[in-house]
Amino acid sequence: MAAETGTPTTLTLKSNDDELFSVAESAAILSVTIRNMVEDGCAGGVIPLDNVDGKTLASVITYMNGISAIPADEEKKKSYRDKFLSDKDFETLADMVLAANYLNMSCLMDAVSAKIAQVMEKKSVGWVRRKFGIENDYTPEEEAAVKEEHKWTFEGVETDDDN
Amino acid sequence: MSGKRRIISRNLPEEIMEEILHNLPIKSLLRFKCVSKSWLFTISSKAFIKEHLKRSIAEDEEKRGLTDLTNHKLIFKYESSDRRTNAPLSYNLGSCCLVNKPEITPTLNIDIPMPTPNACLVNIMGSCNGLILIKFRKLILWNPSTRKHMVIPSPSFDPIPQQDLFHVRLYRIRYGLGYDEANDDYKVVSIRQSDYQQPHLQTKVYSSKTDSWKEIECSNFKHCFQSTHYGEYVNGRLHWLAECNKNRGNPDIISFDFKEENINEYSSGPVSLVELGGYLGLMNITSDADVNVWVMKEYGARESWTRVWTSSDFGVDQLGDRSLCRGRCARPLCWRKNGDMLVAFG
Repeated sequence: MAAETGTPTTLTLKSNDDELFSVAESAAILSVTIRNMVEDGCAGGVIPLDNVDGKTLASVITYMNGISAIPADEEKKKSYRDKFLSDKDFETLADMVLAANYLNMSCLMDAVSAKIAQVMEKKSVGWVRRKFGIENDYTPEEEAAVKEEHKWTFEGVETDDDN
Repeated sequence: MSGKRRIISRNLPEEIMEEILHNLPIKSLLRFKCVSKSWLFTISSKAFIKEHLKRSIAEDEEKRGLTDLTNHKLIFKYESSDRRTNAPLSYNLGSCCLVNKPEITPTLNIDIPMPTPNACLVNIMGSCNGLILIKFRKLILWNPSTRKHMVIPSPSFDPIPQQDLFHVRLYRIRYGLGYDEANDDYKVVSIRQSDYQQPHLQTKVYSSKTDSWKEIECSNFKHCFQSTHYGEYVNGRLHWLAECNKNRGNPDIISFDFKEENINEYSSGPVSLVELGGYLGLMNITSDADVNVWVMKEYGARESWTRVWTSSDFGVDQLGDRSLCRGRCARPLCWRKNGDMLVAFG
């Protein structure tokens, strides 16, 4: 990761559960939030990231390092993102989309949003309610009416076998 | 947690949730209207639908490496599966990749949602942003993605004059579908034309916003459409070839602008073949005497045709006398790969 000229600057990031992480500045500034702090000269000591826990931050840093090591080649970056997200479960993806939003990393945000949508695509209405913690505020009659109107969209829905 | 938030979720704020929903296909979105009232509200909102369409178009273009060429145009074919038994018709909808081989991949097989007593009368009159205009006795605007359709009232043209009543078939009506982006309005244009004795033309436009037709002034229009084709929809306009009496065999391009609601003509003018220093070139002079030059940059490669020069773009200061670069005064002689062009004036 060393830059070709000069010594690479390293930043220290702190998660909301007090874990410390070292990351090259060149990779960390993929986050607009961190880049602004660096540009404002607030990155001298430890950068506290109050909305991200250690587990998620470790994952985000893996992504930062991985993606910034790829030269400007959109195809390769895209395949790295796909591979990076391929083994993540729903809860991890939900944490990552929040972290990407807080850190203002649009490329990660877009990729995780698309991945979550891909996971949701064939899921049932009940699965979505449970996973996103959404309260069903329809009366049974109202729900039946909405369902009736879009009956064909309930064909080919996966059975909820995962937790 | 307050029950008043539009999207109550364990930890995802509304704007992130919407971001995720924008990535879902229409079928999933329609199903998830059942999740809660707030999801129904979000997914049904005009802003959400517009953004979803915008992104789908952008994604299409990114995947195909094309711009403005596909514009969510559906390729469709419809056929009767069994004539003897009168079995239901099948309609194949698919998308066509223009980059590689012109293969059509059927992705959907949907019955057009209406009775089919006489299939021959089903006509597809146009498509735009994934919507399809069908003429099946009535005019029908159909969205195959949501599988919803609406019936459009028929336009009421003037009665056919007494003396033409035996020639009703010569009164042809063509339709076209387009989107007026500025007013966020899907419109249908309908042009009735007759060549019989008194050339006759009447144009009406339907607005889906007001659900009504209105008459468009077109008395100056003297062209005759060449075919019954429903036209090419590009850049918010529908285009046809048509010719006028004084210029038979040299069709002009006629366009209907869905925003301005008017008919325009571009004289395509005579096109001539020119040799430009080893390159095959095409030159055409427009009705306002502008000269356009195209070059086949790679011989034999049809896609390499590029417009390399337009006389009206040529600066006055470069030439001194602007009139010199108009019309037949300008004669291209040679084109070079670096973009230089030699033109003889006067």
